[in-house]
Amino acid sequence: MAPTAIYSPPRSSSVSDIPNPPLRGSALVIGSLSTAQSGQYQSILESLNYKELERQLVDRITDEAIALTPNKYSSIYVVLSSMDYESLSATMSTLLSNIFTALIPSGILYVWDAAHAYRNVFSDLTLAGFNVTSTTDGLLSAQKPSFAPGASISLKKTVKSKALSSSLPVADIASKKKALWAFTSPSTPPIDPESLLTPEDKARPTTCELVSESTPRRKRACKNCTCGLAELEEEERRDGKIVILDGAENGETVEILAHEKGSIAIKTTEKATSSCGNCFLGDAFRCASCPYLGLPAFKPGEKVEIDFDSDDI
Amino acid sequence: MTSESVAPDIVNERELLILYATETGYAYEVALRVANEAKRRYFSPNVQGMDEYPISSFITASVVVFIVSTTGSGTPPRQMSSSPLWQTLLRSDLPVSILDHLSYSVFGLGDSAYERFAWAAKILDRRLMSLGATAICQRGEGDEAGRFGIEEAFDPWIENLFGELLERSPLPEGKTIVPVNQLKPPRVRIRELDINDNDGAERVLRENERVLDSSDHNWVTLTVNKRITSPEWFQDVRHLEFDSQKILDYRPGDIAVINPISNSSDVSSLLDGLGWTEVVDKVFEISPAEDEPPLPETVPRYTTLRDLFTRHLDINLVPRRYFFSLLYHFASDPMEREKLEEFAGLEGQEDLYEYCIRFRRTIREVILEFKSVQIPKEYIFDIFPPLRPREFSIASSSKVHPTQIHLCIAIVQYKTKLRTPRKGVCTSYLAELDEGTRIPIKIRSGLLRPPESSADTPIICVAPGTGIAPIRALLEERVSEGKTENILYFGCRSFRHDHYYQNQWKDYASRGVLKYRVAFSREREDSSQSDQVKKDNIWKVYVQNLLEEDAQHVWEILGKKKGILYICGQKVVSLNHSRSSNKMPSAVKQAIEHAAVAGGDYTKETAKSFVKVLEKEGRLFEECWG
Repeated sequence: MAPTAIYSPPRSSSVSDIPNPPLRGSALVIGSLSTAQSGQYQSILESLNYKELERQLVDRITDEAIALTPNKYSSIYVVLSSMDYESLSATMSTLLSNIFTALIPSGILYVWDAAHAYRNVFSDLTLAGFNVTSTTDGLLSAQKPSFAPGASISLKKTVKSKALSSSLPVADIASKKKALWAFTSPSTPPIDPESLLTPEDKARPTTCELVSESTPRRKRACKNCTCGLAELEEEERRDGKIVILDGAENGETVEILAHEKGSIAIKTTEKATSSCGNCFLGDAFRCASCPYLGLPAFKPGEKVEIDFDSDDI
Repeated sequence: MTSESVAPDIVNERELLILYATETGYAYEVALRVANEAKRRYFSPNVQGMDEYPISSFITASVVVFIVSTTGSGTPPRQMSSSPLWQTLLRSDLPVSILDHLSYSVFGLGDSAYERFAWAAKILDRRLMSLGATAICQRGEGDEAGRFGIEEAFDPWIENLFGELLERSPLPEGKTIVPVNQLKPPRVRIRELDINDNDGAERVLRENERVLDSSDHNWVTLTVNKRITSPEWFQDVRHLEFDSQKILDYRPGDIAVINPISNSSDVSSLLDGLGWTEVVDKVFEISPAEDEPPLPETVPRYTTLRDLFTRHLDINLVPRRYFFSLLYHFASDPMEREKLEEFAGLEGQEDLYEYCIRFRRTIREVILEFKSVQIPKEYIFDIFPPLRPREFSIASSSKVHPTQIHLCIAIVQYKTKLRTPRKGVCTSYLAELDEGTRIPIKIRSGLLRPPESSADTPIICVAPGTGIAPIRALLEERVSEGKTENILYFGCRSFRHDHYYQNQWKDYASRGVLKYRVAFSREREDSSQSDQVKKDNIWKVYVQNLLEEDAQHVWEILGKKKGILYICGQKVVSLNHSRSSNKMPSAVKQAIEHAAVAGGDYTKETAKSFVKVLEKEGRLFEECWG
């Protein structure tokens, strides 16, 4: 249940009807020297019954002496005086976005006595991301959205174009992002990233031109080859000659057709020779028609043993 | 207090985060190349796996370069899809400007033979953009099918990237870009330990245990290692059972992660070839060299060459351009050096393809052919890529075998033009593993999940070949829970030779808890059919043919009863290294569309949307590999 907590307002900023919404978790009360002196701060503190209740003076936060923990509080109460709002006018928007970050989703912010002294309170709340749920002359409540699936808020427009922009320290935006980044809700469905692709993205490099034996080729046929390369490769494979060393004294070789292979097992145990001198070096140096292609490098005069059958699988 | 006086976190503006997501190690190599290019321009690169980088740090990073590969079907590599970073980026509740402080660039690796070319890079790029991040330069898309492979796109991309980066952060005063042919300083420092061999062996053993203990492995004992294809069949497929003697907690769809161990004679031959015969068991200490980031947790601090090359560095990968760009520095023979340097250049890429990639020639084989190569030990971490753990779908249910993990794996071995057969490092290791051996296995979650509801949601499983592994886990679990609405479409070549777990399926079927359908794609070949029949392949039956036959029933389950569809297995069946164009998952989806037309009120034109509906409603699980 997301409490929208419509609090029926007291006529003045008295402390008689302090909102205690049935939210679990901890709460934070932010006061000031002046509300502490007037006693308003203490009486509000006393009237709240949360398991965990934290208190903080506003200037500790605005001076960045402490940082609020993101996603922690189910409610935050801001108990300030008109004087406070006036002196803090430059930093209120920052404070509100810090508070926004510190609230859990659906968490509620209560602000006392803002309406007169703090003119921009509504727009600043909205810019910080809140939905204002209830206002009276004394008390104002606003809720952090629960992030409905698919909904996203734009920090860019608010932060960059509006009041927060240049006056807001970079570190503040960063901490706000950190909080949003770290906040995970298991029920949030992922987006379908494919929906972001443009028609150009979905295209792939154009397929090849028709091949012939003489034209430069792609390296190999595509699986769904339509240009004829696959057939050509197959034909070459079938009709290609495999050279097999027959082990004759003079190093003579026999050529057999590839499809006949397999029925012949040959062991060359004679000393291998090379007329061009490159055969010994390995495939990187051998000519395209070298009889030793596919064999490891060997030393001149070394015996080369190949057993065709045992390799077959 | 003014905001101007507040110094932001000190950011080293020359820091460059490089995140990669790799499937075969290629994207990792490309990431290292980017790092190398960064160093030549006095940036400090930090290369990390997308799944390793702490997500909380990502939000404060200001410049990130992504190197991302794509699997055949267009799904991102697991290193991306299962990373907390990608899952966070996909959250629908992120504000659209949350990354507006971030500059990035994406380079994707892909193969334009596949329809969803470089898909993972594209969706990553678009997602970053939609969250407000700024692209430093246009996305690069390397195409393996292109004439120069990915290089054609890589060179201009890297030039644009660093052109822009240098604009923002110019070279330090008085510095110029380090020439491309200048050897980079090594990644690690090595200090020989004065310690006798026995103490050394003990030290290395303890260090390996320490490294393992830092991750959450389960020690398991191999109890069954059984070939489940007939002895005369060409393919060796194994059923493996491991026992941990304690209750293991895993779910159907989970993955077993195994650290392979390289073949000892391969390791010895390489170390001999590099002239290290005398020092293979000498213990030394490794630490990162000056200005280099810390070494990954998985790298032992005290080790020997034999230990490193057996457990930690990969000598069986097919080397790419980057490997040669380093290796040529270490060849003393001018002709060898020239050839290696050629392979490192753009012009040499076609030759490199012919020499290495096409026939799957390995790092070890290359080094053994270039006999004058002598590598200083400090450079082994630059030249040799890490030996990556391999992942296998678990084939058992922990509800039925609480202390065990079963695997069903095909032993990878095939011929190319090279005379020695190509072998998979991990599957060869497992095939030769003796019963009684203890090994560490890590468990992680996979893409596939059993139905969430406790009701008997009907399921259709389509699992040709070893795709049966995760499905066996799923079916065992469902049967043990008393769920009976199970249909299995299994596909294999032959009734006799590769009909995995047939007794189990027949038993389930006779108990009425499984409807078992099996497609044999080569069964009639040895019978007395005429040559014409054989040639026309008219007897080949595939799983998708059975699905089409059963269209009405398939619709009943998926359309009316809102059942769940599982598709598992190899996408492209390769036999004798000619790639067949039979793309299993898409053929299966077409059969499902056919059912939507035959049973439901879809037309041929709208049937595609039915598969989309299944996907959207989370009723389609795919665990397929290339």
